[in-house]
Amino acid sequence: MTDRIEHLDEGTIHAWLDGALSPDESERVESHARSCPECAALVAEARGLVAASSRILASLDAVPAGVLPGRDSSTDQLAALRARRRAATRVWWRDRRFVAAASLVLVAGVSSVVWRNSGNESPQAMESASIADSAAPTGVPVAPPALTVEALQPQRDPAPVRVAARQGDSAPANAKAAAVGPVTTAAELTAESRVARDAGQGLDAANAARREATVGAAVATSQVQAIDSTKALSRADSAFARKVQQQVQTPPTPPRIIPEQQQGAARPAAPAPTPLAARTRNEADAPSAGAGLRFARANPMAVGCYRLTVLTPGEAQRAVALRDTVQLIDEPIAERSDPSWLRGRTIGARDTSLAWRMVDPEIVELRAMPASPVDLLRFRALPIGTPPPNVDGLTGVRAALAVRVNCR
Amino acid sequence: MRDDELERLFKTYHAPLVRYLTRRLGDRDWAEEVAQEVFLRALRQDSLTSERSWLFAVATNLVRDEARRSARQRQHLMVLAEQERDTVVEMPPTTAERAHEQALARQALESLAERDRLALLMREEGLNYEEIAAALELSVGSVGTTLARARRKLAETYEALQAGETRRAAGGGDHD
Repeated sequence: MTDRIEHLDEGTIHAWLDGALSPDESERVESHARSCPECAALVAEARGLVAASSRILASLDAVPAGVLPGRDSSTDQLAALRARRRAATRVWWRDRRFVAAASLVLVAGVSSVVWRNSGNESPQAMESASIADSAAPTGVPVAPPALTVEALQPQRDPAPVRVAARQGDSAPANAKAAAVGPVTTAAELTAESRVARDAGQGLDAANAARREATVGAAVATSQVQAIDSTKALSRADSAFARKVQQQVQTPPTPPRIIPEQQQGAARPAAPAPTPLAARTRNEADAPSAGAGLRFARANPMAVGCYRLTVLTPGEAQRAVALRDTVQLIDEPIAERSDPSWLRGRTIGARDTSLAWRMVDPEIVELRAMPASPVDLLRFRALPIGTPPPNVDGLTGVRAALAVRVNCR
Repeated sequence: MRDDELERLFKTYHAPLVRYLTRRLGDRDWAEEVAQEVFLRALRQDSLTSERSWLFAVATNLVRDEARRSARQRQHLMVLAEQERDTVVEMPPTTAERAHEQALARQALESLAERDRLALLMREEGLNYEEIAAALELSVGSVGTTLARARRKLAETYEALQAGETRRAAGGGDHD
């Protein structure tokens, strides 16, 4: 009795050619092809298609990579990867700067000292608009920090406030506020949580707040960033994220300011970012509090030269004109106490000194030295295909696109 | 993940990932950026089972999201990048010819359905049928048919493009 085997279909033939069939199935295919001329012809054609496809696809490999120089070797890439990894290993919630940011929010809520000292008139809460384009204060802030609205309560009544700060570990921290320094209402952050204790107690209000204002911005920024990056998750990532979510009960949120009269009232915290912003997820694509500062010194990929095209309309930059080439250098600036600022310069007719840092893995913040709000510029060194940032509603910040060029 | 694990993973998979992404995106810089992102995510995992499948799946998903964004915005950045390429030296004839073949290949590849295209590119990097099925959420049994279809479409489209150009080069509507 002879087995009548069906003629071979294309899928089976290709699977056989690709070695994907079991030994039994392979044997059946081979023996059928031996005895059936039509199927043998199909197999021959399939072989031709396999070879042709490989050849055609191989011609796609010789793509020039001239836009971003300095990335030609795999060793460099591995080194860069290691550097990024080292940059992200610090646990954010124990970071002094995060706790200082908690203090900042407290101060911002209770008084207008920060605004006043920095020359800003109105203590408005600024919503963090889009990923990196909210005006964020820096070493010398002139704009209010970009904190989520819920976190910032303009305080008219100079009463002491109770701060409920939610940290990375599950236990919420309760902080008490007391008067401090030259301000009408002062804040002293004493937190029961281990985090706050690590960071020390008390608050050097104005200066510390100003310096750390950026972290508050980074928190808000990172929340938005974290949400965005979740879209790019693979299923494996999602599974991991769920695991993380279980481990970390309270994702980082800026501390909320609750007037003492409302102590007991259950006020929901600022909308929790996705669990990916939690402390265990401290890699490049989901920065958490302090991440903006964390990356500044350790992202070697940002160092180099860029040609900038300023995106936002308005007056031209005094320090960085359209189509200037700027060079970002991996050196700290002695004049600034904040170590996240690094040295830069423009190349060309005006050799201007600049200061730069990363506010998130992609976005460089650039300003002239000495710092001036008008010259604050943010840009992304973007790979092709990334959309330009949303520049609507920026105040005091200019946005630009940067294309990497050779340093001359 | 330990550093030596990372190194092993990197050394094993970085080149194929970059090649896969370069073929898919047509841009090596972009491909390398995405590859970096893939490894950064891998770092976060304690360990990877089916690591090749996982890496290619993550890479694919990252690319999918990029591709969804506005084409117009992409062009804006392309323009900027092109301006920077002004300093590239003139291409010698053989290179020009190769660039031309590449353009045809790209066109032919773009003519494929996305899933077919991705399956084929993964197969070219050595992923077996189980890995491809896992990465693209296909049944293992359908991978063969997918690849068969993809290869045929690619080869036939490429030939058609070449033939079309030869016809045009031969002058007008002169067919023999």
